[in-house]
Amino acid sequence: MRHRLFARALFAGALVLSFTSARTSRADGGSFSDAEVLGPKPSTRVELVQTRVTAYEQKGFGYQSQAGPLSGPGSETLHVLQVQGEFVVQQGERLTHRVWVPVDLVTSASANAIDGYYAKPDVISTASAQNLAKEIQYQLSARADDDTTWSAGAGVHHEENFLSWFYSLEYQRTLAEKNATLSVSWNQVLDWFDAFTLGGKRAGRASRASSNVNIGLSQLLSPSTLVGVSYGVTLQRGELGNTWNTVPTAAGGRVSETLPKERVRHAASLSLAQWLPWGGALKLRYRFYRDDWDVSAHSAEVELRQSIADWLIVGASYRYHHQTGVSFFTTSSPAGLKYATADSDLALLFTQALGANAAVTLPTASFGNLVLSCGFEHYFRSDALRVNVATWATGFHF
Amino acid sequence: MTDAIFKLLAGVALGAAGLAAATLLGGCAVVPQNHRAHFADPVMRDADDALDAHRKRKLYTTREAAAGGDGKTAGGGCSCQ
Repeated sequence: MRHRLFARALFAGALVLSFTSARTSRADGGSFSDAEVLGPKPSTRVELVQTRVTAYEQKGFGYQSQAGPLSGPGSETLHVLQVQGEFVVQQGERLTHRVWVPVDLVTSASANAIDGYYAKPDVISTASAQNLAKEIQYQLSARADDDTTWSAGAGVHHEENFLSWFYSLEYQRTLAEKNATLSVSWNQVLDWFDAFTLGGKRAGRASRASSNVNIGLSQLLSPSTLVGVSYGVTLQRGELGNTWNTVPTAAGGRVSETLPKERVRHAASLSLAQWLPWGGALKLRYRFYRDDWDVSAHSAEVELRQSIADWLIVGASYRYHHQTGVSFFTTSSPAGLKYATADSDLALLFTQALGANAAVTLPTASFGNLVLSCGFEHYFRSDALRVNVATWATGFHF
Repeated sequence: MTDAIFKLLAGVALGAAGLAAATLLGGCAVVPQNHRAHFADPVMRDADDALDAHRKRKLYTTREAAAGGDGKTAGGGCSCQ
């Protein structure tokens, strides 16, 4: 009796299964595609819309700044309010469009000489008090096949005394059943900007070009480990300073900063991302840098992320950076030097940065996931420069 | 100029050799697609989205001689090099 009941149940189940499978099979024996069952995907759809607002507050002193004693360091006080917007649109199955618009509102005391020795310079005119920098970049990514993607980008940057154009081309290919990703990119930047005399008067235009090639590889090492390695080399030519930096002299005055007209920069980095069984992730990154101005640097960064709930992730990060200074750095330049700079950014120094962040993901009925995130970073250098950074982002991930 | 181009090409060759070595070493490990669930975990996704990456680049490239060098625009108005 029990066997009969079991046989009937089995037969009934088989009937249901055969009916179900008949609904997803063609009369000719083929199966329906996802598009036929679910309906066609819209040919163009928005993937991502997000904005980020960041505020920077900097305090410090540097010998390149005239905002202080004639022979001493000047103020590097700076405030920046940065607004960014990003839109990503998917067109069909192969094309992705990305538009990115950052706008920086900068106040700078360092560019503004406040002592009365020279006539008050119009270094970057009102930019000394306030400068608005606008930029727009567009990138088109095209998937050539299941493993290969080509991307091309272009952009323009504009502010009161400065124009910049940017082009890029990238090739990306997945390898070994998508266990590895190889990328090669070329970037070209052309800057065109006002030159200034020591007293802050405009002295025509200056330019520089930066050509860069990057090669990168990421590789899955285990079901929870991802590693990456990359190398980039950059050739810069032209006026490589901002033209308003100055150098204190041994005689008690100041002269304009003079830099070589060429620089070759190498940077190599290693990264590791490790998933942790308690819902966390550990990320490590090391970067080595070397250029022909005799700057060598090591940077190490560690980040921990932890899922607190399905909708909440928190993170913390620490970064250490050490660099040697350029060979022609001086805070008291003797006469007759071919190259001289007192820019604190080009000096021997080490820096540290401590950061914390949180992200909340909230599903919405019509606009995908709403992601709200905020973060804070404290950056401090061995020369006592301090920067506090607060950032807030809002985005819809469709 | 010739010297700079030579250094540039030498750098590219060095990078390519390093990556080739890394590929050979990494090629030993193959993780099947059905074992990659952890990489889809939100904690593993890169917290550095493009906008946050720009924020960080701005912070470091405008204050460190050794930062940057990747051809990206640092933005101006900040004594950038």
